[in-house]
Amino acid sequence: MSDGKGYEFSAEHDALFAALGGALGRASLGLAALALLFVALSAEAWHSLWFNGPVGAFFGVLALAGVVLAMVLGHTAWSLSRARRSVLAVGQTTGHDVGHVLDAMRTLRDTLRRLEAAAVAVTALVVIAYLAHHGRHG
Amino acid sequence: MAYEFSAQDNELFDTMSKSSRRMARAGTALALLLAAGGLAGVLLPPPHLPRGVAPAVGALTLLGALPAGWAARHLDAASKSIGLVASTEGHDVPHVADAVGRLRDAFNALAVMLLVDGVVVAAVVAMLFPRGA
Repeated sequence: MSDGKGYEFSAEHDALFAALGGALGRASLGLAALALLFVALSAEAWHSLWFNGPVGAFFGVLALAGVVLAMVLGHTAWSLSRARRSVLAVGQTTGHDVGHVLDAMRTLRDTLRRLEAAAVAVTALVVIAYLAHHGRHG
Repeated sequence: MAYEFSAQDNELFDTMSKSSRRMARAGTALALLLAAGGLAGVLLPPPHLPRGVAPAVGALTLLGALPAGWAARHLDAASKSIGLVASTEGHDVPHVADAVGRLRDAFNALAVMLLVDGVVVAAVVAMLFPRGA
């Protein structure tokens, strides 16, 4: 893999990378906040399952989906934060711009791949929750 | 100064482009689902929910469909620019710069979508399960 040693992006490009870093930071913070909200939602669903017994099965599945989603969102927030560091390094350092770009692209690609797998898993859990809900209401 | 990425780098850009395209399609599907769910909440509110809850959550969900579609559109455009880095020669840096601009727009849209989603989830946490039931 090329290290692009010596190649420097222009100031205009550096500004673009800085803007992408800002956007990644905001998205990362939003994901972390949403993960915490899903943890709260799961706690409430588990509470319902605990007090309602078997009839609360729907909430149990919902709680499991919430926990899985919170874990995925938290991990994605961490990955985006890593990508943000690489993107910001393009503008803030000299001598390894291409290496930082490749690092950022690799992290973003891996994040997108994990999100694809997570989307399939969450869809499956939502379908199970829907079926459990219909089983509960006939 | 022109710069060309190596064949191995191009492979990374190619796989990144494909992943971005698949996520853009998933984002479009999510936007359509959110729009359909939001419309259903506003037009056909479930009778077992407290009055006004379903239309309010439906309206927020409908609102959430806009940034989701916006993010998907920019991610699709970014996937094309990233793909061009791998498939063309002589303009790698302009293509990377274009891709970075598109990714910035996509992640800004994602941040707006997360804000709306956060409000929706917070509303669900506060209204639908106030006592865990």
